[in-house]
Amino acid sequence: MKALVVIPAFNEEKKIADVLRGIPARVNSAELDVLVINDGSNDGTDKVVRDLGVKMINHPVNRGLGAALGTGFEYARRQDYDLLVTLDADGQHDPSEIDRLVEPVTGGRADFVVGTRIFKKGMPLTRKILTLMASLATFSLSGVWTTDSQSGFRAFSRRAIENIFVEVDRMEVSSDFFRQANENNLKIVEIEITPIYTEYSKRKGQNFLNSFNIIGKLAFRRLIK
Amino acid sequence: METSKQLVILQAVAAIFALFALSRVYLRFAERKLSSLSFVFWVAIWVGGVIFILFPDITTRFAKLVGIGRGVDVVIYASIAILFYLIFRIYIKIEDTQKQITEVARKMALHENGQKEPAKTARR
Repeated sequence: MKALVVIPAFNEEKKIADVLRGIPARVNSAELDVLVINDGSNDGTDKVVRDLGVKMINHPVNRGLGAALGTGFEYARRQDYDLLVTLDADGQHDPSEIDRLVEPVTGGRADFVVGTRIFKKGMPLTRKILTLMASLATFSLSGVWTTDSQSGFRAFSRRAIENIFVEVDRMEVSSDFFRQANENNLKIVEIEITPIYTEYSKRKGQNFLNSFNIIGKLAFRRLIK
Repeated sequence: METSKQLVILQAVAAIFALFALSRVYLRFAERKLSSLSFVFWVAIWVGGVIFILFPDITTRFAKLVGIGRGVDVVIYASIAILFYLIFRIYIKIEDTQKQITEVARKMALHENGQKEPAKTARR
């Protein structure tokens, strides 16, 4: 089984080294390849990644989270991967949890696993409200109820890799995965994970304003399609 | 008498502007930078504009026909509708352009990485 960890990164020179070092060499029976999608960073992200000898693909200009993940999917398709894991570069996910995350996929029980962050202690209140709002929006647009639609910690089966074509460029990609999973009859499983909230990751995360923006964009896309 | 004179000046200025716009439309079309459909659309807009400016009574008659009080109101309502339509079109165009830029960035990124096009083509 060929497995790939995709890490979209935009200006993450401070955190990405720790994240990359924390990724296990293999999970279960699969060796893990790691790919950083450097989304037009203008800090030292590319140098940090290169120094660690990790494979990296560079967007010539910043195109957003969705675009970076889309490139990761395209790479996985071209290289014939069976398993794809996405992980945030800001250090809020614990890479040692990858084995738990991919288990439903390797066990054949899921095509799309979401590492949900809710119910865990230490989640800031504003983040909780935001998560609930995002879940409601995701539900209304995709018909799938999830406790944490915006989680960046995900695992995809080969079937998911072959059927999901990311068409949105920015943060709205997280909700769009659910829509596409639902449309392609992919099996979705949620796994609880332990988020690591630092001042850094909170700052990097989404805020109220752009969550409205996401909802608006997705609704509009739906309207004109 | 004074107001009617002012109206004539205003009509002349507006008509000259509309004719100028019309000439731009024609030039763009001649340069083949405008599709036939867009050309017809813009000519209709500006010729309509010239007619309404020179013969405002037409708008009044039209207004009565559709149940709106004044001719000017009809023109304003129509203008707002057309503006909304144009903004919508621009929005769609920008979305398309954004998508194309991402596509180019992705192609460049994968190409730089020595990735060949896949044997089986992507869904779109």
